[in-house]
Amino acid sequence: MAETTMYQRFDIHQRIQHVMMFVSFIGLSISGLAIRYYETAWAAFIVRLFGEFDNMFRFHLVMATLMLLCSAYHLIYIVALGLLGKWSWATMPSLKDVKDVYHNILYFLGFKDSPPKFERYSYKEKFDYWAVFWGMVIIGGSGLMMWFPEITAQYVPRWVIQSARIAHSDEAMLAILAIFVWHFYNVHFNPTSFPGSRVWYTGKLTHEEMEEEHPLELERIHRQKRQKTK
Amino acid sequence: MRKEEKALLRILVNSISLVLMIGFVMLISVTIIAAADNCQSCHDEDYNNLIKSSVHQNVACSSCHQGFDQFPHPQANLGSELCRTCHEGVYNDFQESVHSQLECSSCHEQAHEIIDVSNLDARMNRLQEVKACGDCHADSIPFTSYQDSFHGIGNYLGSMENAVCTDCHAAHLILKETDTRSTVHPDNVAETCATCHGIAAEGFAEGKEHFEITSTGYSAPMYWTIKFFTWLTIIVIALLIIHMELELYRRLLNIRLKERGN
Repeated sequence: MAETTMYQRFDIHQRIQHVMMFVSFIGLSISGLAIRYYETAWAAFIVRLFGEFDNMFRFHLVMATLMLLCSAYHLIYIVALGLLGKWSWATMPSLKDVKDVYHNILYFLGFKDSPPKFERYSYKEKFDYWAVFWGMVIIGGSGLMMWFPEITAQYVPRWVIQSARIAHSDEAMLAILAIFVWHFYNVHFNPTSFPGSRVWYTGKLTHEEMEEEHPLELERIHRQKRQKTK
Repeated sequence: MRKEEKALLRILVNSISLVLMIGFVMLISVTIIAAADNCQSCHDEDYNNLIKSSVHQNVACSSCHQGFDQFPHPQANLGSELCRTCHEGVYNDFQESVHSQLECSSCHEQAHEIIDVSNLDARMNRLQEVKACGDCHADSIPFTSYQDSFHGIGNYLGSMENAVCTDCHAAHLILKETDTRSTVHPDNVAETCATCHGIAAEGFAEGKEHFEITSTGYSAPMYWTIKFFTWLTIIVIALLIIHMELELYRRLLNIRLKERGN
């Protein structure tokens, strides 16, 4: 019976946040790339899809608002978790993550027979989570500076806004590459997940998936269950 | 009876005025058409192909081509001076500007071809203007930095809202930055920005608009921002790809070990 048990991994708030994030991310990527590579033929094609540039740019701002709302939602969510006494440090990087990277590389190269055992979040997942944090600060911050230059200029010199524009575009390229190469490999294209993991939608993992991806978390859950029943 | 008489008189006066007005308008049209027709008997192609669709379609040929009712036509210099007859204000601005050595037609089309500026094909339309300025200024830092700016990118992609050259530098009275009347003089630039950006806030108009990105000077922060993010992206993405490739290698190894085991 234990094999068919489903394990709740993401609650409804986390799943809504993820949907808000990927919808806005894809929208911002399409309209943003057309601005970054404005001289190309495909940029002109994307502009035509929106009818005209001014429409496309408004769409970029609407999607930016959605992404900022998503970030605000997440920040409120983690504060609420703290207030409800459900605070968790599981996403915090630790020394174990460094050891896991080393262990995993040795495993990949054939020097170890088994991969490292992960807790609730593996180092890959922690990297993705904090990459979004860093990206939101850089891209969201610089985006707001450009959206409201009249206000920004009252507090910082103009070269800061001009540098922010470069950071916005360059950091966005890093984010786009990280998502569509690295994240898509991890959740879509690798042979175990293909055509895609469904945990973003169902929020649940099977026993086998837990054993494969989060064995230490699984052990902890069973340990806690046993303690409760005692 | 008096009332009826008054009404009758009013109708009579109105009818006469109307007839006179129609006659007057017809007279003018006939004159213009006749004048055009006269020229058209030889210059039909010029007239139908160009002038008819230009903003000058209602201007008689002889307004600019003075003395051309004689044949052979006199040798005449049809320079910008002639435009002054109707466009005195902008002509005077233009004569004072840095472009005074140019002709009206250097930027606008020839008088016969000139079309309304709201027409997307007009040389001075918002979407065409930058290209026209580029005919002379294409290799200058102000021009190339404009193209890389958000103003320039939006304009390139067809935005009707993004600023073009003349929005900041004025259309006819383009003056050097050092001239106190110039829209880009340090004392006036905040107000110039405010025409689009709403408020001439402190600090907003400070700093440079047109510059080249170099490792030293004003643009150094931008230069090092580019360097930082370029190398961050190369290193991070390279490491992620190496991680992916190693993982795929191990998956292959596992398959081979399994096959060997069998």
